[in-house]
Formats: sequence, structure tokens, C-alpha cells
Amino acid sequence: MFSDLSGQKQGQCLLSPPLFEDQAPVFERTSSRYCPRSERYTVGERSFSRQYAHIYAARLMQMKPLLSEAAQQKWGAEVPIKKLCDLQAGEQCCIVGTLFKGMELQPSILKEISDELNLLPQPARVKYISETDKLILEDELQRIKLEGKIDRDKCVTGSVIAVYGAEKNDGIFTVEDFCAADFPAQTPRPALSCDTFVLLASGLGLGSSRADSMLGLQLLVDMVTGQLGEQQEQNGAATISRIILAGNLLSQNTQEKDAALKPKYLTKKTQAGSVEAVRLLDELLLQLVASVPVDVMPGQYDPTNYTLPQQPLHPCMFPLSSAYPTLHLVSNPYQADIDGVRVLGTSGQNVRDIQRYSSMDNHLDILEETLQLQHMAPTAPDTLGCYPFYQKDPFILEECPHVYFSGNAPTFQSKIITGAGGQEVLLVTVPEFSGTQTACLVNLRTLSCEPVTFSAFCVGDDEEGPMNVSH
Amino acid sequence: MTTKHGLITDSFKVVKKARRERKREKRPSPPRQLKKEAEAVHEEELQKLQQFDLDWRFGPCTGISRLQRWERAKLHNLNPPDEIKELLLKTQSDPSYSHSLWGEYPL
Amino acid sequence: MDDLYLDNIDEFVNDHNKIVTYKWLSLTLGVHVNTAKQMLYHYLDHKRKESSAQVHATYLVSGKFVDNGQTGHRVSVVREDQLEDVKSRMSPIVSVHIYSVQKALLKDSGPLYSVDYDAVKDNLQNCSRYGAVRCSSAVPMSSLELQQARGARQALPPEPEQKKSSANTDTNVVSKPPSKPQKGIMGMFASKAAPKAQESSRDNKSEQEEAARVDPVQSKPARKPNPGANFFRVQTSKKPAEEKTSSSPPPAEQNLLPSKPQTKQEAAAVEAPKDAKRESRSKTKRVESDSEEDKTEKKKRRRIKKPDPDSSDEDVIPDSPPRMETRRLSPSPEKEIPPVTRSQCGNIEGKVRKRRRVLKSRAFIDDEGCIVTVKDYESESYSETEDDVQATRQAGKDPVPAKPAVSNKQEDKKGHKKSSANANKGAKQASIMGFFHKK
Repeated sequence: MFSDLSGQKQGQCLLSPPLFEDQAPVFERTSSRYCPRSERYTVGERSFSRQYAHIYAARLMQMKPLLSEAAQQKWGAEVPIKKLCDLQAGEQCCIVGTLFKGMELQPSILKEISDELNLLPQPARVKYISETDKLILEDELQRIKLEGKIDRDKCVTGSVIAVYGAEKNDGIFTVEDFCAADFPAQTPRPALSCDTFVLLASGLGLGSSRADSMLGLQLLVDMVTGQLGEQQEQNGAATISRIILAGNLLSQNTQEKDAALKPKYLTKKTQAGSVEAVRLLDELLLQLVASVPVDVMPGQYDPTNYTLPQQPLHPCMFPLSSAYPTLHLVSNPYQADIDGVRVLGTSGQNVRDIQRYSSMDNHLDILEETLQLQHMAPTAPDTLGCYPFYQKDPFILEECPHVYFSGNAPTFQSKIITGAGGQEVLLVTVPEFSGTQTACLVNLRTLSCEPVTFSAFCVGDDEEGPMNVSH
Repeated sequence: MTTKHGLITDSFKVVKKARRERKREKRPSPPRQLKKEAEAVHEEELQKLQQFDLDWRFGPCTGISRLQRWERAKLHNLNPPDEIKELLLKTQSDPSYSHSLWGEYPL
Repeated sequence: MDDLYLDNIDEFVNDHNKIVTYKWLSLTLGVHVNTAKQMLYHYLDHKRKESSAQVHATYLVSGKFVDNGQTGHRVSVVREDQLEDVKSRMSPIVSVHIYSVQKALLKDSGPLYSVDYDAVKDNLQNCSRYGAVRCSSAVPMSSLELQQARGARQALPPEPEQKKSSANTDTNVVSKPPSKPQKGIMGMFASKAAPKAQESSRDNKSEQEEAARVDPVQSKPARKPNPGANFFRVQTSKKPAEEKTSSSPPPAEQNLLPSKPQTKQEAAAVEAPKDAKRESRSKTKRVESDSEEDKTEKKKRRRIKKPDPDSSDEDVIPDSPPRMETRRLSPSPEKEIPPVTRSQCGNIEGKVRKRRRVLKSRAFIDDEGCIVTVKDYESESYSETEDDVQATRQAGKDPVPAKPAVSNKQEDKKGHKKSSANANKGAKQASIMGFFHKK
């Protein structure tokens, strides 16, 4: 625990008059070996002239061998793995394919157009699952409707799975069992000699109308940069070797969708809300990067491309902080080796999208599910914006990370799970800072994770508590 | 619409040319013979490539070049025929080789 | 040293009615944060014993905290009356110290942020200087290193930058950010800086002059296209600037601004040997132009966006400046020395052809019949020779300053710039273009 670590030596020397003879303490920031591993998420040449069929084809090509193996492990080496075109009615066999969930409620532009004439607009929803959803399995050539022992609501479009069962006479495949690719292989984690922390935070939400949450953010900065607290706390802060900001640095309010609808002469002299927010962010980052390496991932509301993988924010937006070599503008998803610990995460769009299109609600469960499926963003490109890759699908998890996080979650959660192959993974949902005033600290040595909450007081606040907790 | 028109006339032309070629075959002469052989080779190569296009195992082929499709198949260990790659590398500049059967269709 | 600081704090708290946070105190007095915390404690203790005027304090408490069964670290800022309550709920307590001292009882912690924010803003470049954590790798890069880093960055993934635009034009697809990224984003910041430039040259008469005058200070950081020259310029100005930063500029001393214009003038003198001659020229020019400009000036004024004064010290400079340049942008030193700066700029850059970004203002009558002044950064290539000076002088009278001032080598980088330049020729078009030109 960070508190234990930093509280080892009890002594409250700050509640005493200053003695000028003793040297004020200065701790050296723990440095860690850092190696970015995000190459697969950088999009080189950008051509949007391709169809998304390629990404599904590449996904199936790459995952089919994995699933065949998983199927053989589960149902025995002799299990017949068939293609849909070879399927005989009544024959027990296994089929590997991509799931497609036909969803009545899924927003569709075609429906919108056809409904334009006289029907109701599609209502905005939190979830798009319904009783009428149909599960369909597709392989390279054909598709077949699925029924039986498979949780329809939990599944999402785009996941590659293996199903075991038989085709009935009505042309529907009755599933008896199914399996996913399961965790990929993991390289062993090196044993670290001392406690080193990585601080994860997301959803700073700068530029929102609520300015009162800024003190919490400033406290976070002050803690990390070793300003606040007793010597021991500052000593503990020096062991934070890195900060990862997982997206949504800017608030949704800076998007100003209505600005596009207003006539230009009304908005001529007005400045985009994001300009001020980015300036604020630059100042904040400057304070951080002057003291600690920071990885800045873009998120849904940040000024970069919308489709995954989101490319790094441009340094010209940060004239002050980009002068420091400690500022790393990185992609989303982001992957790196920090002291040999493989850290992988997103700003949360993938998890949120799965939440919308399945019965799963808990971000941590969804995160685990994506690891099971061995795919970070199965719903891309169906309901989640994504670049039209054709050679390979970069969202397939080829290597199992040690720390796997997603940002902008409603609450902080974490757990360590162990895979069948002995893989040990720390799952973390990084809460939205602007709402929860909470960041999290990951101990790279032990892979333990704890929240750090900042709080202040406000009007009518008898009980001290985190600001905006009601939000 | 315009693109469609272009395509129809294109295919029409090709057919015509082929016929003309066949008529000329009837008067055999050494250079003609050579040309005819080249033509036959060309035809055969295109056939091979079209077979490659039609092989579903290698995934969709619209929007990407044949070589890209071949590379992808290779990447995923699907054992695409090596001769296809050689052929494609040899004739890189010729669009009738580099692009798939449906390469001219707009998406 | 002794207890002088007690009087200091007392003055801040009681006379200035300030909220004194440890961080603000640390930055103001230039002491380590922990010392500042102790000073505040000493002061509070002292005051309480005296029991004269009432002062209130807020505390910072941190420690292990169990919330909904989840154990975590918690850092809280609390009022004095909540202190014991909060402390009792943390175990173990890691830190307790005074966060701030102020005369009034704070209802809301919001003001604490504002105080710290202002203090940090005044010391942005060395805000963690008095903190307790050092990071050896966090050393700002020099402008040269920065350029190299940028270059490397650009070189690593070369395609995105280059192909972005082409990919977008021929395949009209979404991805709006890449469409014209640098220009667009930089433009935003440029326009941010523009009002400030205006302020510093509020009393100028001719737009062309303003452009030139603003140039040496304002546009320097943006002059990336000419790395070599930029580097050398930075070098020359580095020493005085660094002296300033290192001689600890807590807010109290910030008022001593005059020193900055002076150093600038010195630098100017060194750089510009032919000053005197130039000055006389520019003066005559001013006389000539004044009469004409004056007439329109008043009308134009209306639409010039006045910057708010207090934003002047938070200059966001377009495109990552090396630090000393930030410092040089003092609010309004230019007023006293406009002709000098102007001519010196022309002179040093003498025969060399270079690119620079210049703040241009264009005035025109829009279709509502209002006179609109649009200020915009333009990139221009120029080589100052005697001919050009002639051109510039004429430009003073010319209602269309942008074009001649730019001399014979104007190159428009972007489409919209071209259109704005063209727009100046035909009155009708000018108005339309300017109208949609979002500022």
C-alpha cells in the first residue's frame, strides 16, 4: 500500500516552527526502464477506400488457429472442426466463426433515412439489447443462426468464438457449448527489487462547467510532484515513476456540437471551448512533466481522430510542456513496458461500447471478457469507430499484458486474475477523475493497485467527503 | 453512372480486340507467332491471378491490390502460391496484373 | 532570517486580506514547501497565543482510508473544525499540515485553487522548484534539441503527416482532425496570442508598422521554418533571459518589469548598428502616414478586440517556445521604443532572406457596411533591402498593407491565406472572405 509505504516513519514535523538549519528534503524520482510498445496502434498511410470486410476477414484468419486449438483442448483432439459449407444436418461438430448479433434496437442510419417520412425517431438508449436479438455465426463463406446454450445478451458482434453442437433440420445450429480464445501467452514478469508505482488517471474533464473539481486535480499534481504532505509522503511520491493519463483530458462540454449548427456570423469572434481547456491542460502537464514522465493518451472527447486507434495528440497544442522530454503523447490504445511490466490499456471506448451492446454492465467484467476473447475491441468496426485495417487486426491481443486497464470508468475497480496458462494480469478500471476525484496507483513490484482519492470541502458539506460524489 | 459506362465499353473493347487477334492468327508469320505466344502467356497469367482472386480462403479482394492480399495471406500462414507473388512482382507496373478482378469497381 | 516572515505572513493575511497557502508562500518567499508549511504553523501558533485578530486555517490530511470496503490513499483538505473528525477516520495518518491561513472562514475550497493557480501561473517554468521531488530526466530541451526531437518524431511515422491530406482529399472520409491539423491548431493559438500583441502596440498608427514591431518579440517562437537562424537568435537572447529566471521571480518581484525592456533595448543596440539612420526614416514615415491613418483609425477601433489586461502575463505562445521567450513577453514594454525595435528588426535580418510570421491587420468594409479589422498571422518570406524599405514606406499610405510589406517574395502557404491576400485587391470579395474567415 502506498499509505503504508509512505507512512512508515511517523513524525509530524510539519506542525512545528521551521528550523532553518536542517536541510529541506529533496528526493530523487525513481526512474524506470521504459519501452513504448504501441507501434501496432500507429496508423501509417491512411486510406479510407477499403471496406471493413477486410478487418473481419483478417480477424478470422488470425484467430481461427487459436480457436481451433482452444476447441481441441476443450472438446478433445478428435473434435471435428467444420466449415459451414460442409455442415451436415444432425452432425455433432465444432464451428469457428465470427459472431454477429442482429439487434433490433441498434441505431442504423438506414433506418433513420427510411423512417424519415412519418415514423418516430430512434430513441436514445443506454443499452441496445432486446428480446428479439438474434445470434448469428459467420465463417468465411456462410452464416448460420445460433440457438441453445449460449448467452445471447452477453455476446457481442465481432467476437470470434468456437461453438460445439449440431445443425437441426430447420437450419438453426443448436449450441451445446462454446469457447473463446482465452488469454494469450504472457512473458514472465521480472522481479523488481523495490516498490515502484505508476499512477493511472483518466477523465480529467478540463473545460467543464464545473470548476470546483479543479482543486482535486491540483492536489493530485501537488502530491505527485512532492509538494504536499510530510516528508514520508513526499518520499512515497518520489517512487511514482510514471503517470498515464488515459483519455478524456478535455470535458465533453468542449465539443460544442451546436457550434456547427449555428450560422458562422454568430460564432465569428467566439473561441472554441477547447482552446482554453487545452491551455489549462498544457499548464497542468507542465507542472507534471517537470517532475515525472507522463504518458498522455487521447480519449473520446480529445482533439484527435475519433476512430480507434486514436493517434497521439499533436505537440503543438502543448507549447509549454512539450519542451520536456518527459512528455509522451501516445496513442489510444496504449502499450508499453515499464520496468519490464507490460502495461496495456485504452481510454475506455471499447469497454463502454460493449456495455451498450451486451448485458454486461461492470467495466471490470467487460475488461476480463475482452481478455477471454483475446480481442480488445470486438465491436469495432460494427458499433465502435475504427480504422479500416486490412492486413491484420491490431486489437487482437497477441501477448498477455501484466497490467490491463481501461479509462473513464464510473468507479475504481481492480483485481488480479490468473489465466489457465498461469498468466497473471492486473485488471484496472480507471475512474473518471472529474466525477470521482480518484486516480489509482499500481505497484509494479507486487501488481497491487489502490485508489488515491482527493477531497476538499464545499458549501453545505458537513461531512467531509469527495466532491461531486453524488454525480 | 459515368464509371459504369466506362466499364461497359471497356469490356466491349477487350472482347473485340481478342476477336481481331484471332482473325489475324489465320495468316501465320513468325512475328505474329511470337506475339501470339506472348498473348497466350499473358492470358494464362491473368487466368492464374483470377483464380487467386477467386480463392475465398485469402479473404476479400476489393479495395486492396493483389500483392497486398497475397501478403496478408502469407502473414496468416495460409500458404498462398509463391508463383503468384513472383508474377505480381514481375509485372508490378501493369494495372491489369496488380489489381484484382473487381479492382475497377468503385466501392 | 528569524521571525521576519511572521510579519510578512501577517501582512499578507491581515493587510492584503489574502489566502496564504503553503504553496503560494513557498513560491513567494522562495523557500522549500515544507519550510513554508512550518512557517504557516508557526504563524498560526503565534497568532493563537496572541489571540488578537482571528485567523482561520485549513489543513491537509492524508492517510489510509477505508471507503465502502475499499482501502485507498486519501488526501483531503479540511477546515480546522473538521480536522479531528477526518483524522479519526484515517489510519494510519501519513501527513497533517497546514494548507492555508486566511482571515475569513472559508465556506468552499474553491478559492484555494485560485490562489494556487495564480501562484503557479506566475512561476510556470519552475513550479516544482521548491517541491521535494527531483526528476533528473525532466530537463527542458533546448530549442535545437526540440527541433531534432520534432524532426525525429516526424521522421518516425512519416506517412501520417504527409499522406493525411492527400488521403483525405481523394477519399472524402471522416477523420476531421487530420484534415489540416497543424495550421488549424496552431492557428487557434496564434489567434490567442494576437490580442495580446495588439495590446502591446495599442497606440500604433499604421498596421504595417505594427506588424514589423510586433514581429521581433511576438513571432520569434513561431519562426520554426528557419531553424538555424532561430537557434542563433535564441542564443543571443538567452543570457539575459536566463539571469532573470534564475534570480527567482516570486510574484512580489514581478512588478519590476522595466528591466525587461531595457535588456531588450541593449540587445537591440548590439544587433543594430545602423539604428540611427533607420530611426529617422521611420519617423518621417510615421509623420507621413499618420494623417491618413488617423481618419480611419477611430472608426476601426470599434471592432478591434480588446484583450483583457490580466491575461497578458499568461502568454500562450504559438508553438512551443523555449522558455526564455516566454519571459520576454512582458506586458507592454514596447510602448517606449517602437521605432527602435522596428528598424532594428529590419536591419539585423538585413540581406538574409528568411521567413517570419507577422501579425497583419487588414481592414475592409464588409457587406453590412461596417469596417472590420481582422488581425491575422501571416507567414512571409522577405529580404530587407533598400528597395524593400521603399516599399514599406509606401505601404504605410497604402490601404492594402499586406501585399507590399511582404515584399517581392510573398508566398502563401495555405489556401485561405492566399484568398485573404487576394481578397485585399478586390473590395467586394475581400468582404466576403473576411466575413467567413473565422477569427
